[in-house]
Amino acid sequence: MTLLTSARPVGPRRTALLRFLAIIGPGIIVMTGDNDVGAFALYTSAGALYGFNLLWVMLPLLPITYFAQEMVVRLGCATGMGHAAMIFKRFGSFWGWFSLGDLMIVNFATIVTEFIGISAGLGFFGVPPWISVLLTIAFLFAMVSTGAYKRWENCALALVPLNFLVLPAMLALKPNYAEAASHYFRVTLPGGLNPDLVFLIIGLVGTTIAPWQIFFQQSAIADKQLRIRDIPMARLDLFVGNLVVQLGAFALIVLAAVLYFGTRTQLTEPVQIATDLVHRAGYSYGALYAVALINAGLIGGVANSLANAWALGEVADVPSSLNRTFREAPLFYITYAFCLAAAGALVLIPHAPLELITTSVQALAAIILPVTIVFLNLLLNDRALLGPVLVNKPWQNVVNWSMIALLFGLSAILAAQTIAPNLFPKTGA
Amino acid sequence: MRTQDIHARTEAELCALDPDYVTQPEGRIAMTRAVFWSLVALRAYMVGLIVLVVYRFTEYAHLVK
Repeated sequence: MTLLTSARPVGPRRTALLRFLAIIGPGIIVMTGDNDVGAFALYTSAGALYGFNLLWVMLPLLPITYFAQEMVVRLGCATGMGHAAMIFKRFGSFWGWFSLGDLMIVNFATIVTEFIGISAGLGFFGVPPWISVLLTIAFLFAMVSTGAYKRWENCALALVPLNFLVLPAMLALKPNYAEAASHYFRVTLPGGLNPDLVFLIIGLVGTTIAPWQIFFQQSAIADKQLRIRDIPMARLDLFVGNLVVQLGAFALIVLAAVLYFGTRTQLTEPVQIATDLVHRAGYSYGALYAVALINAGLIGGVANSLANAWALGEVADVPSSLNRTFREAPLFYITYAFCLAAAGALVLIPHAPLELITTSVQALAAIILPVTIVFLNLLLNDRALLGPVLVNKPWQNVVNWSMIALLFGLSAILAAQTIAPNLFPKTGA
Repeated sequence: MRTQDIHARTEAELCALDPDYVTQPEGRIAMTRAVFWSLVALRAYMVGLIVLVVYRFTEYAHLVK
C-alpha cells in the first residue's frame, strides 16, 4: 500500500506512450515488410532508369496505403477475425476461394523473391546459395516457433531498424537533396506514357500496397487480440509504419539515381548495388546495403508466409495462431513451413530469371490489388457488421473509391498497352 | 456482442465503452444484382489482364536485364 501511494503518478502522456508501446507491432511490421526485396528491386530500378523523376509517385502512395490499411485496422479490431475468414463468412465460399487463391499465388511468388534477395545478400559475404536457403528457412521457422505471438512480434520489431541501413549508403553518395525533394511534388512522365514507364509505375504501386498486407495485418491484429479501444493507437502504429516505408523508398530511389542514372547501367541482380557501393563509397557501405537487403527478405518472407498460414487456417476453421504450439495448430505451421521450403527450392533452380520474376510479381500484385480493396471497402460499408460508428464515413468512401478507380485506371493502361504496344507514342525524355 | 447492442454515437465514445468483439450477423452481406455482376466482371477483367501480361511477359525483360 505504501508503495502504491508513494509511487509517482503516471501522467496522461506517459500512459499514452506506454499504451502505444503495447499496441505497436502489426502496423509497423506490415509496412516495413512492404519494403521487401521486390521493393528494393523496383525502387532501385526506378532510380537507375529515371533518376529522381518518379519520386512523385511515392507521395500519393502515402495516403493511399494509409487509408487502405486503416480500414483493416477498424475491421480487425472490431471483429477479432482475419480477412480471409471475413470474406468467406460475409461473401460466401465462391468469392472466398477466389480471394484465397489470389493471395496464395501472389504471396508464394513474393516469398520466392524474398529468398532471391536473401541469397544475393548473403552471397555478398561469400555464403553459397544453398546454405543461404537453409539458414533462412531455419531462422524464419525459429521466429514463429516460440508459441507466443508477442515473442514473434518482438523478433520482427527488432528487425525493423535494420531497414534504415540503406540511409548511410545514400548519405555517403552526397545526393542533391533539394532536387530530390522537389521531384516529390513535380509530376513528370519521362519519355511519355510508354509501356516501360507504366509497367514500372504499376510495379511501384504494387510494391507499396499489396494484397498480402491487408490479409497479414488483419490476422496479426486478431492474433494480438487488439480490440475496439485500441483503434486509435493501432492507427498511429500504422502511420509510423507508413513513414518508415516512405523513408526507405526515398533512400533507395535516390541511392540508385545517384549511382546509375544516365550511365545506361542495367541492374541485373539484387546485390549489384552493394558491389557498386564498395567501389564508390567503400566496403562497409556495400556491406550495410547487403545486410539491409537480407533484412528486407527476412521481414517480407515471414510476413507473406504468415499471411498464407493464417488465411488457410481461418478458412479451414482450425486453430491458426502464433499463440498455439505445433501440436495445437498443425495446419498453420505446416503451411508456413511449406511456403518457405518450396520458395527456397525454386530459388536454387539454375539460370532462373530471378530479377525479372521479382519485378513481375510486383506488377501482378498491383493487378490483383483493386479487387482486394473492393472487397475490403464493401466490408467496411457493412453496417450490419460494424454498426454506424465504425463503417466508412461518406468522405472515406469517396477517398477509397477514388483510389480504386486510380488503380483500375493504371491497370487499364497496362492492359491497353499490352494489347497495343504503340498506343501511346514515346515523347522526348 | 451484437453491433446494435453498442450505444455510442462517436468513435471516442465507442472506445471508452471498450466493447467486446462484434459478432457476425446472420447470413451474407446484402449484395444487389448489380454489385454481384460488377464483381464477376472485375474478376474476369483481372484474370484477362494477368493472362495478357504473362503472354507479353518477355517484352518487359529488358527493364531488368
